[in-house]
Amino acid sequence: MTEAADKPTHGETLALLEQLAGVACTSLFQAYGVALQRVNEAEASPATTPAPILYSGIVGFGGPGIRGACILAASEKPILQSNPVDGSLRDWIAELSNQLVGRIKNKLLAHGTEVYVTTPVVLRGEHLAPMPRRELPPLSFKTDGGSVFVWIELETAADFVLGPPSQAIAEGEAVLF
Amino acid sequence: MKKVLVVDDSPTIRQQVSQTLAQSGFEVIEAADGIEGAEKIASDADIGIVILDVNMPRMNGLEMLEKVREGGRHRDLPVIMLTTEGQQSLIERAKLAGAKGWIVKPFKAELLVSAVRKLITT
Repeated sequence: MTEAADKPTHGETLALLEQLAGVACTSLFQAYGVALQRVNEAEASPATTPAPILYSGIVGFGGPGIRGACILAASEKPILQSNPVDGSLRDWIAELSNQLVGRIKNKLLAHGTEVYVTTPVVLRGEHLAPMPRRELPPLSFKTDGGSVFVWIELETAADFVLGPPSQAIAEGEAVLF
Repeated sequence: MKKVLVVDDSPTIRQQVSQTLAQSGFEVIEAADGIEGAEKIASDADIGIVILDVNMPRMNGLEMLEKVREGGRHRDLPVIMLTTEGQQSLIERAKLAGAKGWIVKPFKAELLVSAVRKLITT
C-alpha cells in the first residue's frame, strides 16, 4: 500500500475530531459527577428540548491548517448539577467550555496538532443554536433532567491530517517535577 | 502552617480549590490574575505554596511565575500549575521557571491535597 493510501481522508479526519469532541464532553461532565448519554438529534434537539432556555459557552481555536469554534450549550440542570460549588452560573458555563476545549486541545496535541484558544463567550437564550455555513448537527446528550449539545464548527486545510495518537498528560493527573 | 495562594481568573475554580484545601486544614487566600498574585506574594511572607492557573487576563500564570522568580527572589516558594493546558512546551517553560508540579483540570481533590502537603514550606 502506498503512503498516500495510508493517509486518512479529509472526511475521516473530521469524523475523528467529532469523535474526540464527543468523548471529551462525556468525560468532562463525568468528572463533575454528571452522566451524559449520547443520543441522536431526533431524541434531543436544541429546537425541541423541553427546557428551552439554554446557556452556552463559545470558545474559538486555531492552529496550522485548522481553525474553528466549539459551542457548548446546556439546559440549566446539568450545569447546576456539575457545578462543584454554589457559584455563578455564568462563570461555570464559561469554565466548562474552557475545560471542554482544553480536553479537545490536549487530544489534538496527542495527535501532533497544536491549537490556540480564545477566551470563552457566554450566551443565554431560548433554543440557542449556531447558524453555520453548512449543515452542522450537534453532538446531542441527555442527562437526568436536561440536555447538553456540542457543535464543532471546523475548517481544515485540504491536506490537514491528524497524526497517530501518542501519550499526553491525563486530566486530573498530578505530575510533580 | 503557611498559607496557600490560589491564583485563577475563574471564581468557581478558586472557590472549589479553596474549599478543597480548607477542608484539609489549609489556610487559603486568593488572587484573580497574575498581577494580583504577584502583589500578594510580594506583600505576604506567610505564603507557603502557590496554585497557579496559566490562562488569565492581564498577566498569565507563566508570566507571573517568571516575574516572582526575577533576580532569584522567592526561589524556594513552591508553585503548582493547575490548568487546562497540556502542551509540553508550556510544561518545560514552567519547569524552567521553577514550578514544582503540573495538574490538568479538572483536578482530583486527593491528588491536589497530597501535592500541597508534600510541597508546602513551613
